[in-house]
Amino acid sequence: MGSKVLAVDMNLCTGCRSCELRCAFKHHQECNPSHSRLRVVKFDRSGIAVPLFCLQCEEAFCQEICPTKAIQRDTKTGALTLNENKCVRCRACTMACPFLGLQILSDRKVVKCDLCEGEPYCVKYCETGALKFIEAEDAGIQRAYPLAEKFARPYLKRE
Amino acid sequence: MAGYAGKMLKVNLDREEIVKEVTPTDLTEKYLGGAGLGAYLLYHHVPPEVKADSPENCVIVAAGPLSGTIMPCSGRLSVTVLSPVTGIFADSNSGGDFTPELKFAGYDLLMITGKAKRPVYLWIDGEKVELRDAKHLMGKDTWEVDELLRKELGDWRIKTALVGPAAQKGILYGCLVINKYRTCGKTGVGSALAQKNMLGIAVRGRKGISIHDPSSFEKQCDKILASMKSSAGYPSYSVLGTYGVSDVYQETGRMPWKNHQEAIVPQELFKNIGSDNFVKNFKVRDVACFNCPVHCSHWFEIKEGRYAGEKGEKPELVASMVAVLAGITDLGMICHYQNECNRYGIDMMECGNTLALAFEAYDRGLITLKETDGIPLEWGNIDSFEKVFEKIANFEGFGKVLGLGVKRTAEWIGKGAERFAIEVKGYGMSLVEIRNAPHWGLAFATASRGGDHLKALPFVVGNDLEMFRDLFGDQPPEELTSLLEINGKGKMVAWFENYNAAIDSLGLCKLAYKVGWIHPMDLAPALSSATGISYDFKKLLECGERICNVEKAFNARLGLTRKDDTVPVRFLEEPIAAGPRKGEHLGSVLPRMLDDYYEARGWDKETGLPTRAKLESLGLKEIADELESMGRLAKS
Repeated sequence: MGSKVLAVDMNLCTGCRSCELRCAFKHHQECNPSHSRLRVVKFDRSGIAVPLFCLQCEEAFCQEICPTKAIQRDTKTGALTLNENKCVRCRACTMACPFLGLQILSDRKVVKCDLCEGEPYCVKYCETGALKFIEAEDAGIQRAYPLAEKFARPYLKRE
Repeated sequence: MAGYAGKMLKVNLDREEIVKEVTPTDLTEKYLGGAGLGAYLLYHHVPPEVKADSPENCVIVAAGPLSGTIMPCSGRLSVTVLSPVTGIFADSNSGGDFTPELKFAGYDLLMITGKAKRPVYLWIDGEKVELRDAKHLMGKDTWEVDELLRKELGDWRIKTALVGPAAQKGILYGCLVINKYRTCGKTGVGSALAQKNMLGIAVRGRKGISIHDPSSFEKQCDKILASMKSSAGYPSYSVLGTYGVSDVYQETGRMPWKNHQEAIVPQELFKNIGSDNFVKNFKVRDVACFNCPVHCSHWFEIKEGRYAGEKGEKPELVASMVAVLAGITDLGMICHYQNECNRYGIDMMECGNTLALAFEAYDRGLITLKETDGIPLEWGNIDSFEKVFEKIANFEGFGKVLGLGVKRTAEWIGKGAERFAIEVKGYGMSLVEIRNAPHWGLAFATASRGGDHLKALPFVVGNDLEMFRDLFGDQPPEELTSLLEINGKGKMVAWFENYNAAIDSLGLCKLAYKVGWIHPMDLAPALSSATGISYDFKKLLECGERICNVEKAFNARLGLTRKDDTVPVRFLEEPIAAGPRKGEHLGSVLPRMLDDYYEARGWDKETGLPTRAKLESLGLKEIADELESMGRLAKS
C-alpha cells in the first residue's frame, strides 16, 4: 500500500491558491476553486495561510459512516476514493469528517482527494514546496531543521 | 462564453438599481477586458462636460478574460474613472484576488454611475446582487470594515474592495483597498466612489470559468509558468519584491532624496532602508496574490524600536521612496506608513509627493508653522511626518490643503512652489529619478493618466538581447537596451505602452509578464485556447494600440496636447547635483524622444494629437469624427 502522504509546511504557504485552481482544473477542466478538493484558509492579520485537505485516515470516519460503502481504499496510492456510482449524496461523510476532507459541489455531488493516482497536482504546482507528497514517517520531521535553526541562530551568528 | 464570465452589472446609484447585461462580444474582441474595456466605456459614457465629482462620472471595475484562470498571476483588478485629482483619464490596477472572485460570481465587469442618497456598499453574492446600507461602516478603517463585512455577510471567503475613511472625509487621492493589503493606488479611484456615496464592494462566487480548449490552455500556462520561473530576474524579485529596487536606485543614483533635490541617499543612512536590513530583521515569510508563483509580497513583523509589534504585508519600494522624499531613512516608519495608507485608503505616492513638496516649501520658508498647524516640517523629522500625515488622514487643518494633492497644494502655497511640484498632468510622479534614465522620463511624459511609469513600464536595460532581436530586429538590441541611448527609445516606449495595455486588459500582472520573463509570443496562443477566439501576437498588440489611442482621444477631447506630455521643471532644467549621473537633465533629450514617440504612434508631432489615419486604421472612425468636430484632431 502507498506509504506517501500529503503534508504542508505553513511557513512556506504563500496563500496563492494555485493548488485549489489546479486541483479543480485537473478533475473538472474548469477554473473553479469551489470545486477543489483542498481549501486554503488565510489568516490575514498574521500573514499565515493554511491548506486543508483529506488526511486519508487509516480508520476513516467517512468510510465508516457511508451507507453504500462508496468510499474504499485504493491499495496502490493508499488514498480513500469515492465511487460516484455508489454515492447517494447523503453528505453524511462531510458531516463526519473532522478535517474538511470531503466537499460538496454546486450540483450536490460529493468529491474528495484521491491523490491523483499517486502524482498529486497540488504538489506539482506548489511553487514554494509548502505542499509535499512524502513518506508518512518524514511528514513531521521535515520541520525539525528549520525549527532547530531558530534555536541555533544566536550561536550560528558567531561563526 | 469561454474565458469570460459572460455577464456584466450596471449599477445606477441615483435609483439604486442594478441591471444585468450580457458582456458584449464585439467589444471584448477589440478591447479584451480590464483596462481596455474600461477605457472604451469611459470614453463613451463620460463626455468632456462631465466633472469628476458629478454623479455622471462612471467607475468601471473590470476583470479580464484570463482573470481567475490557471494562467499564472491572474488576479489583477482594473478600475477606470475620470480622476477627481486630475480631471483627465485615469485607471488603476491592483493585485490580490478580487477579480477572480468577481468572475466566479459570474461577472466580467461593473459599471457604476450616479450618486446614492445614503452611504451604500455593493454585495455581489453570485446571482443575488444588492446595495446595502453602509452607514455603520463610515469612518472605520478598511481592515476593520473588511472583517466586519465578512462577519455581517456570514462568509470568510468574501473578497472586498473598500473606500477608506480618508476619502470619505474628502481627500482626493483616496485609493481602493483590496482585502487589506493591496490597492488600486493611483488617481483617486477610491475618492471617486466616495463622491458617489459608495463605500465598497463585497463579492463571493461559486461558479467556474469555462475554458474553450482545456488541454491546450494547460500546456500554454505551463510553458509560461516555466519561463517565468527560469527568468534572470525571478530569483531576486521573488524574494525581495519591488523592495529590492531601492538597492539598485542607490547604486545608480536614482533616489528621490528630499523631493528630488538630490539623487542619492547619504550612504551611512542608506543601510537602514536597504533590502539587507529588511530581509534580516523585518521579513518573516513570502505572500502571494492569486495563482502567483512569484510571491513578491512579504509578511513583516517589527520587533523593536518605535513601531515594535506592528505587522503587515508588502512594504513596497514606494513606501521607502516616500520616506526618502522627506529625508527619512527609518525602515520601521516605512512599514508603518504602508500599513496606515492601506488602513485609511490613501495613495502612498500622491501623499508622499504632496508631503515632500510641503517639506521643501517649509525648508525654503514659503510656509511657516502658521500654515502647518504648528508642525515643523523639517527634513528627516519622523514625528512631524506622522503628525502631518494624520492631518491628511482626517482631512483637517493643513490636511484640507494637502489632501487635494501635490499640484493644488503647490498652487495654494504659491510663491513659486509650482517649480518643485513633482507632477505630470496633475498627478504626482512615481518617486524615481529620471534625469539619468531618458526612456523612463519619456514614459512619465506620455502616460495617459499622468505622473506614471506603469503605463509603459519599459524594462529594456539589461534585458534579453535575443528576445529583443526577435521582437525588434531593425535596431541593434545592444543599442535598444542601453540606458543612455536616445535612438529608438520613442518607438520602444510606444511599443511597451501597447503591450502593457494588453496585459492590463487580460487581467494579468504586468510585473510578471515582463518581456524577458516571458516571451510575448506565448500570450496569444494562451488567450486563444482559453476563449476560443483566434488571436495572434499582432492582433493582441493591435488591441493594445487601440486601447492607448482611446485613452489618448479621451484626453485630447479634454484639451490636452503636446505641451502636457512633459515632466516637472526640476527634471527639465535642474542638473542632478551629485551621484553617478551628476550634471544631467532631460531638457535637451525629451523633445527629440517625444518626436520619435509621436512618429511611432502615428500622431501629429507638433500638437501631439491623434491623426485620422491612425484612428481609422484601428477602427476608430467615430472617435476621429468626434475629435474633428471639436477641433481636437490633428489636421492632416
